[in-house]
Amino acid sequence: MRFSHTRWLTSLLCFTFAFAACADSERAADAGETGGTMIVTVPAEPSTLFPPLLSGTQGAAIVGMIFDRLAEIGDDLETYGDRGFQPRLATSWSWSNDSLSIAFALDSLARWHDGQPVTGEDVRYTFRVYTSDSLAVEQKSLLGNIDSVSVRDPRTAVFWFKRRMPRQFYDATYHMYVLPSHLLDTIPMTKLERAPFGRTPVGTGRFRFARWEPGQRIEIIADTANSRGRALLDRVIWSIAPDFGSSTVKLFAGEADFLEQLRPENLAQVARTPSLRLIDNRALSYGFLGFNFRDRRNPSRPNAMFGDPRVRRALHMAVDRERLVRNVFDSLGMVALAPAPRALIPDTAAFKQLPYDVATANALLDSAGWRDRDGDGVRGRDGVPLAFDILIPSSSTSRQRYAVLLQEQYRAIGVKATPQVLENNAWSDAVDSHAFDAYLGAWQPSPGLVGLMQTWASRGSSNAGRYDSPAFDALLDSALTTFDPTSSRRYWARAFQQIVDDVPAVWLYEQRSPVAISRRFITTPLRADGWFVGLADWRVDPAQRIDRDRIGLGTPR
Amino acid sequence: MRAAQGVAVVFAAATLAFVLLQLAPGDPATALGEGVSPELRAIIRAQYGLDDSLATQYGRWIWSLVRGDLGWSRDQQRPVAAVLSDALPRSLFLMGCALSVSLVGGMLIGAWQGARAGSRRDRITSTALLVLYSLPEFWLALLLLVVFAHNLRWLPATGITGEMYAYMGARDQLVDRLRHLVLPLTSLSLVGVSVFARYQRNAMLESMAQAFVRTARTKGLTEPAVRRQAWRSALLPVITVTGLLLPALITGAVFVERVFAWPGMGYAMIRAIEARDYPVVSAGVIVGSAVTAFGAALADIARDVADPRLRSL
Repeated sequence: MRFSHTRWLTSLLCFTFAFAACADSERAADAGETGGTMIVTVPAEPSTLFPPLLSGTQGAAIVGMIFDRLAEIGDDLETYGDRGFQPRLATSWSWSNDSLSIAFALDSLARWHDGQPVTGEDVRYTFRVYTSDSLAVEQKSLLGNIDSVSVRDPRTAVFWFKRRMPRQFYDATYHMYVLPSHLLDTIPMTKLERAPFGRTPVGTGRFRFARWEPGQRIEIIADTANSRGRALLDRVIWSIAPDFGSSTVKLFAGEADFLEQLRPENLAQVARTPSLRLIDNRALSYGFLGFNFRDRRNPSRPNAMFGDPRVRRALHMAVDRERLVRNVFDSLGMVALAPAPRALIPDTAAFKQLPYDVATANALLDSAGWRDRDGDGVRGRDGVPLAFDILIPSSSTSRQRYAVLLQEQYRAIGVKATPQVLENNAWSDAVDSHAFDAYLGAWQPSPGLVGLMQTWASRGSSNAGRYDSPAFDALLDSALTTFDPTSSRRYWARAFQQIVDDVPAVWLYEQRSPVAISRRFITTPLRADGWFVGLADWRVDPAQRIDRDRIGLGTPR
Repeated sequence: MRAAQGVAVVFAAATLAFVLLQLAPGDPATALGEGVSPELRAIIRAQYGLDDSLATQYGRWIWSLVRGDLGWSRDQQRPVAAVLSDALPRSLFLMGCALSVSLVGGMLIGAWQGARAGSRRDRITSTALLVLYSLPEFWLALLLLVVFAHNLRWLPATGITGEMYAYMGARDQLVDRLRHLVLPLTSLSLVGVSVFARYQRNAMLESMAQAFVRTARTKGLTEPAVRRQAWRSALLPVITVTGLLLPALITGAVFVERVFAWPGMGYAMIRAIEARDYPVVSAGVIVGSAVTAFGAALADIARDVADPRLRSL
């Protein structure tokens, strides 16, 4: 049998890399850098681990560890061009001269956890799945500018775009985890949702799936053969405890090592617990009191109260947002500036906020004709009281507290606001169908702020309050499509100023989400869009190891 | 006849649950929570036929049931049968243990009290049982959790097994399972013990006043032998209560399972209701009502065995 030079060279290279990887791994083990078990306590388990069908935050961390993107966004979450992006499954990429295509060169050593090589066909298949009409994929609407994906050779996938846009690279990499076509492409798209893959996923990440015991736990373990090096921890277990109180008991009793989404009332106890520490984590969410611009019973008419910008401005200026944040979140919150968290606003200094000014708020309401003529403490106009309900989902205790405080602050200016706590589904139903006057909402925008088109632009499908401003729409469009970063910043500042002045909502809070973690762990900085991004590089301090850290990579019984 | 009644009850309960859930605000698409676009919700509604009329959906569900297909859980992304086959044995195990402990403990305490009715010890025990009886299981569960898992750290807080269970030896696995059982079992059993003890005590008092007890004493039977005879006669009300207590036990298990993250039927049902996972809720109601009907039938049979006079009624 002839052994070609190419094969010989490939074998030699593989051997060299394998040897180097083993040597690295041994060195790491010698230095006590690998090993350890981390237990994360979570309130709910995901529906599936099939990345395109992942909805909400449950399971995002697990999927993010098992699967890889082509490239990973930088810590500053910059979305313009490819600045700051780090190679993952793609080791390099090249733009075409007209910038309408990007060719991604795949890592030749990258393997699926079943040992198969990663190919361009996997990337093409991934795009097909994420844009399929047969599946309910949340990211599909964000992939509209990608025309197609072709395979130039087994190690090169080419993305073709419809228009030249500043966020082409981000579109091609951020929204999709690459899927194994060799395991999935024989399954019809309509059957993918029910395929066993969703509960036994095979990815390329530095952790691989180990087991899922429904209702109890999901475990991932280090992939020792990974081309980017094994994860330093042996295993991470997500332990499911649906009651938040039980979750905290697990953490404080030492049964769990990590808890996300701490509540203000837990901070003091974490500080008192010697085995735990807090890590600050910028969250990308913001909360607001949204107004309905149209009459909820007759949408062809403007809302009698909120259709008037003077009323909306008065309702904004009557709220002491700083005091409310301190009251509800203590040190875990800050006043929101606009419909985006500070981390994603390009220039927070370039636009002005409406001040807290009760006297001006009263004057604005007087000038709009809303006066308390009968002395009952509630303003009215033409026999209609200035009164409205604030809808709040029952799952959010912080928003319930906000509603009570808002009620009190509005009472001071003669406005009767009544909090209405609704079961989550009923709340969603009312908000989606615009059947409200005001509601307390919260959004978690992704980097790049493309989602603003959906949530606040006049034709945005999630624009529940039907805010309609051609000026804001135009500025937003310019900010998103301008290639020059300086011009873009200017457009963003003007867009935010426009929406702040229009007051479709009172921007209430940005939440910080510090996590509590056992002091045994040495971590990397947390990224705002996902604490877990650097998890494969977290390790256990060798001097603080406990029994469960010493188990090694043994297989479960 | 009993079987036919049972089937009718189960069917009526499941239909009622199906209709009520459909009439409640929201659906599986809204249950995805905030941040989900209306377009995505529309796709999900179309995929699962949620836009169809109530009658169409009901007909589809009944037809699936007839074919033995309980449906697909959208929230858990697996067949409903798989959801139930995981959850049901865990709940039955917990409830079975709780019922046994409640029954044995309650009967022993009640019989002991009945024999000492009116004494100081009887009054103290009655007061203690009344306090236990008044405690909501949810609150009791939280109290036990805080004291024994958080403060004392004697017992694990949640789950059926510990996170490292799969890496333990057989003996350690058994110990781990038992340690995880203690708190949920105690939460469920304490109230049950107080219920059974109160019934058993009262039944014993009535039984001890019966003519056959006086006859036994005049015949010269020893006091323990007399009490044994009286106890057997006092079993009937307790057996009846056992059948009636099953629904309450199931309800209690729902809360206790949530607090201790015991992934049984209670946990599955709460999750399914929140997610508007209609097939799981409907199937859960079928199982719950079937267990209740079966329990009631079993209690009837047990009463017949304990008192042959009832067989002719």
